[in-house]
Amino acid sequence: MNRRKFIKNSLLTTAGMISAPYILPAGTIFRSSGARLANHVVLVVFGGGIRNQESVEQQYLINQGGGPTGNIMRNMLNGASPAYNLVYDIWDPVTPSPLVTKGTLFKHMKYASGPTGHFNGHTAVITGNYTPDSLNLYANPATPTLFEYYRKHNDPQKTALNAWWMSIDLGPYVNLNYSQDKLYGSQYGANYLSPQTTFGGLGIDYFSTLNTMHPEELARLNSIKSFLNSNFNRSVTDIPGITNTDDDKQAIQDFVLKVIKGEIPIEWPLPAGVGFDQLSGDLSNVAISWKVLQKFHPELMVINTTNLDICHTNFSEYISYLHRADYGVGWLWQKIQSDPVLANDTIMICIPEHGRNEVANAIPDANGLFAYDHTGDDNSRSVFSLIVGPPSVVNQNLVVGSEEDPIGETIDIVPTIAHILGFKDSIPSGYLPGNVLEQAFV
Amino acid sequence: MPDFKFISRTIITGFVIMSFTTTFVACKKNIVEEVIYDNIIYQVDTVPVYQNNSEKDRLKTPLQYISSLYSNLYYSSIPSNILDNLVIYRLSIGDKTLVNEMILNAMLKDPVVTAHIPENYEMRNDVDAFVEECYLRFYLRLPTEYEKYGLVNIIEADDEIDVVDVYRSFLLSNEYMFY
Repeated sequence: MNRRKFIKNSLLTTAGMISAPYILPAGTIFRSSGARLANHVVLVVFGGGIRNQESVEQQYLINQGGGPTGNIMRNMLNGASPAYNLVYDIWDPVTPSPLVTKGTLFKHMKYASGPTGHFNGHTAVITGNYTPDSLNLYANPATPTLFEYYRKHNDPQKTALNAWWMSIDLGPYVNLNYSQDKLYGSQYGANYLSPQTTFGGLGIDYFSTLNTMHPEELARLNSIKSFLNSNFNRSVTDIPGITNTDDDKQAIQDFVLKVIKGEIPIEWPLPAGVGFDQLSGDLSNVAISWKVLQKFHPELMVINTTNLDICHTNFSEYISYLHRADYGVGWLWQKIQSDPVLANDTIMICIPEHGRNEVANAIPDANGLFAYDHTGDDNSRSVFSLIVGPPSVVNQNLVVGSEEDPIGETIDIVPTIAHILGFKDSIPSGYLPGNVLEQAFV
Repeated sequence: MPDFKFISRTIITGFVIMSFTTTFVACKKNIVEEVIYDNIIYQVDTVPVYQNNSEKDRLKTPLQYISSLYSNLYYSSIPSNILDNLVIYRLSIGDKTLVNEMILNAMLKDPVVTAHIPENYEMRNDVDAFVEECYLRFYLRLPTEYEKYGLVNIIEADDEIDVVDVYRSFLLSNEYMFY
């Protein structure tokens, strides 16, 4: 080998060694993978276990031994309200036309595998993977969450201020903002709030007189703390949980404290003239989530509703909560369209985490209507999904899928959002078994 | 003829020896008790528990962290209802460093706590002693010479630094999260 050839080979080898770590599994050297369809996605896990019969099929009381049919979700779906035998107070829709006219309804989708438990269903929607029977309720999921895919594979990478998980409940749901996967994990996790606790009685009791620290106080804190930390061989990455940048953390703390103190007023999703006693936990979660959207304009937010789970014992209340949650979704969409950053640049996806049984249990409510559980029959594995967005991106007024020929699964939501935000092709193969819900997009 | 008196005396002596042996010399099960120093209340005569910070390799649980914050600032054990409430509240915010900061700052505003906090002039009068006291109180160890030198310098170089700044920094530092 002559000297020139030796130098050439050495340079090529060195270049290869330097670039190799940056070549992604998809075979591209750059992180970015595709054009975005929109810059913001709001996923509503429209949960608590909703039967297609009372939602998209609009069967109302017909399965309770006879009664009227009718649409109790007039913000999302076309159709008239039940004409009689009302077991709920009808609220006029907040949307000028049903959301289905602004998007694509997957009328019958499958929750194909895994127990029909609320946490299992949430985990499947948020991770894009079905869960085993042995799912640990006290640990973060084994496979990465939507938030981690987004934060790791988006180019440029975004801070946690752009990814939010807003859960009505604590319990196992606090673990859904990042996974245990070693290639992902808390460093790519989402900010998490459970508004009923963060801004509820406990927040008011303990923090209503607290102010955010002044910049000078913060500078002194950081100076001393940095010195102390430099002498300890463990870092913040050894401490569980996501971390924000210092600036983002202060912005979030300022937001939390101002909401607690009432300095940031909350608008509640209630029609004019309806009393505050009608505000459900679902609606309060929607209200605070809107404040986070309005304040930080995150690119990815996941919200859930769960009050409908009252259907185990009270069918009439289930109908009422479903009606109110539908109002909340419509209200949120209207708010999004009123925001200069989010309007016409947001795609919203609604999907229940699972359905409920075909056959009622033996528990009647005060109206003599029987309740439904969710124990894994075919009916409890049947759900719908509504994807709405700008007409240039999302097919409008389209309904796909039927009971005989369902289209899509709940695990398709993660690849669909990855497709919308343009990072799907950067996700390593083998992680996501689902598919993009292509029918929704122009 | 056997001497019954001798035999009975021998048997009795044997029983006494056996009883003594079984009582005081027999095998004993070793009982190992693990002591976790997470909620110790020191006010006067604080003594170092750790020789150095490398002995701290276990992360405090939220319950341990909040209860040690409380006992360090209030000089008393945290009432169970407050502990329960704060542990629940801590769950509701994903960024634990953020919520720890909120909990600590709320405690540092409590008049009960501020009554225990030394005046700034006391710190300035003897910064060396103050730094040593902070390490003992919050880290349960003495500072190394380097740590003492470094922190004293930081405090002396900035007149704006007050006792609360120093306390807050210790209680939000990584070492305080471990035991």
